[in-house]
This record gives sequence, structure tokens and C-alpha cells, in this order.
Amino acid sequence: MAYKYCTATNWGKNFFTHEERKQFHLSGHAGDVWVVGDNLYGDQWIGKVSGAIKSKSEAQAIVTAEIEAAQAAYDALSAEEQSRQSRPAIYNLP
Amino acid sequence: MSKYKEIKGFKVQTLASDTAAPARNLGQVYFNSGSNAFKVTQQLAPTGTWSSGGALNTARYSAGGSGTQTAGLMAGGTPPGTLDNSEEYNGTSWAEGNNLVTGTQWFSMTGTQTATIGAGGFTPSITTNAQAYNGTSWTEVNNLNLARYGMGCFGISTSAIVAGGANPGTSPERRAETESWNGTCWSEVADLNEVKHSLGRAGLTGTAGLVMGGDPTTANTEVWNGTSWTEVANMNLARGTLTGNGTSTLALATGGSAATGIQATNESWNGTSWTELADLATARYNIQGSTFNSSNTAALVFGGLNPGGVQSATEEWNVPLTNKTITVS
Repeated sequence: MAYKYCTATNWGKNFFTHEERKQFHLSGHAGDVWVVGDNLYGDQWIGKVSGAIKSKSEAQAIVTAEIEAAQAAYDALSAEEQSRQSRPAIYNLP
Repeated sequence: MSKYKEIKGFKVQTLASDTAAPARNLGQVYFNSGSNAFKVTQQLAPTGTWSSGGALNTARYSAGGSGTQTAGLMAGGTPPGTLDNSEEYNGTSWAEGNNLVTGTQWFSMTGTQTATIGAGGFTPSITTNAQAYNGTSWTEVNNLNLARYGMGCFGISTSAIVAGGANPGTSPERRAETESWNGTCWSEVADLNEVKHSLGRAGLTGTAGLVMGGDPTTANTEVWNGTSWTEVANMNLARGTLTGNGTSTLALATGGSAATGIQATNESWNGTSWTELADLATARYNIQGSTFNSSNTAALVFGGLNPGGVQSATEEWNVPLTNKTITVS
């Protein structure tokens, strides 16, 4: 499946609708990065949310930087607090 | 003596046209006099999707969640520290409600927006504390017998169950104990078959419920019949720190953390088995939900944690309902 990548801030209700979720792939990631199915409906959604188009490598860099910041925050927690959550792990966007 | 209804059955309703509010007619057979056809309102479960809802005012995880998709409630959680504020959802946006008496994270909550009971968690130390909400304010009520966090919790403020959980100060740390709330006090009842914490849950009363998943990572599902727990079919994906929704026969299990990472996975329970349906848009664990929905056709999830940090996003689950013609040959 082909994807497009953008950044957009989720404003809440109707940022994405049930109908849109049926029409194209959509997944949200750290740093307000969205992976969007590459079809007409996905393009229309990116326009609706005023998404800033990114290349895959640009989007991955944003996600990785956010996760590295989250890892630093996790490492600063007490051992007890760390035991209640997982250390954020860097992953690759689809 | 038999009643007329038991001998002759129920009258089938006649409607001039298909019902405009199918959600109220789910499972009902009726006669459409316009098209001269018997019809039934069905749920098209595989076509359900998540849409975005109003964002929380305070992003958080490990909070308590209760209520319905259009009247939700969230309280406590973290960060920073141990939060005491609560928020109410009206189907569109979250508004601040009155604070908990005692700020709590890993708070196990169940009920409606106007009749919720919550118990256990960290305040910041592990606690037996329990608090009830009447739609306006929180009050302290009688404590649990066993301090713990991450219990499966279902029911309402007059009849509820908490099960499982963990207490770092006890041995074993992970627990199988179940406690029943009768509106006044907690009493110990039959244990879960498996020790676990951070489990999902579903159920509208303390006499019929479901728990699924949990840590250590399990796909196990157990049904509560008011007296004892029975193991039933496993979820397709073992995971903990997920949220549940619905009843013991129609439920959802959403999000969580699995061996393969943080999940957007969403599974539907039909009383017999689990089926994977459409994923959340944003994967997360330590997620909360308004679980007091009477079916698996409507749900609300919010907050949680993922590699990007603490979440404020809300997502709403809906399954289209349709009126189908009954064909006989």
C-alpha cells in the first residue's frame, strides 16, 4: 500500500470522520505526523486538515526525535514510575 | 398458568417505512407495510470505524474512565504527579468537572456519568481508597479490602466488580482476588482463574461481566456470572493495559501493549469469540474508555501513552446499523 506523510494538529471532533476512515488508511504518530493512504480521499483529507506534506524520511525524523525526547523523559523517572510504563521504543513508519 | 403472550408469542410491529433510528431497534423484527416485507435491524460489525472526538483538556494516562460515548467521565491519572481533576464528555467536547476527593492514578472506575464508583490505584502510594461520583461531586465511600492497582472493573455505583490487579507491596504482587460492591461496601467473592493486572473489562452490572487480556501479557478472557469466573475464548492478540467496552456478550477490547509493541488493535466479542475490526487511528496503551455502552456498536476511548508521549486524543467507535429484508423460500 502506498502512503503519503504529513503533519497536522488534531483539533478533536471531525478531525477525521467515520466516513474518512472507511476511505483511506490513516494512522497518527508522534510529533503530529500522520500516515495517509495515497488515494484521492487521502489527498482531500490532507487538504481539509491543512496538513504539511513531508517525505517519508522527513516524517520519520520527526517521529524519531519525539521518541528520543520521550526516552529521555522516561530515563529521568524514578524506578517505581518506570515500572509502570514501557521505555518508548523507536519504530519505523510504514 | 401460561400467559397469552407465552402461548401466542409477541406481536410483530408494523411500520409504514423503515425505522429512522435503527440503533433503538437492533435485533427487532418488524413488518414494513410500505414494501410488504418483514425486516430485521442488523448490526454490520465488520464495518465499524473510529472517528476523532473532542480532545481532553488535560492529556493523561492511567486515569479512570466510565460513562457512555455521549456522556463520558474521566478522573485522575498522571502526569504530572497524581491528578485529581475530572472531565465530562458530552459527545462533542470535554469539560472540567469537580475534582476527586483524593487524586489517584491507575484508578479503576465504572458506571455512568451520574453514577460512578472508582477504587484502588496510587495516591501516590498504593491504596484501598474508593470514591463515588453522583454527576456533580465525588465522595469517599467504604474502602476495598485489598489495596491494588490495574483491576478490571465493571458495573455501576450500586452493583460493581473489581478483579485482579497488582500490589508491589504484597507477595505475590499480581492478584486474582475479586471484590463485589453493593452500593455500600466491598466483599470478597470468587477469584479470577488467572492472576493479572491492567486488564480490559466490560459489563453494566456486578452480576454479568467480562475481563480480557492483562499483564503478564495474556489473551485470556474470563466471564463473570455473578458467582464465579469461567474461561472462554482468547483474544486474537495477547495484550495488557488495554480498555474494554460493552457487556459480557457484546464487547470491544481496544489498544494496549503487546509483545510486538503498542497497539491500535481493536477486537469485537460476540459472546463466543473475538474478531479483529478496524484499528484506532492512534496506537496507545494505559488507555481509558467510557465502557458503559450497552453493546459493541458504540464506544469512546481517550488518553493513554505511546512512544510520542501522553495522549489527549479521543476516538469514537460506531457501527452502522441497517434494516435487512427477511427472505423466505
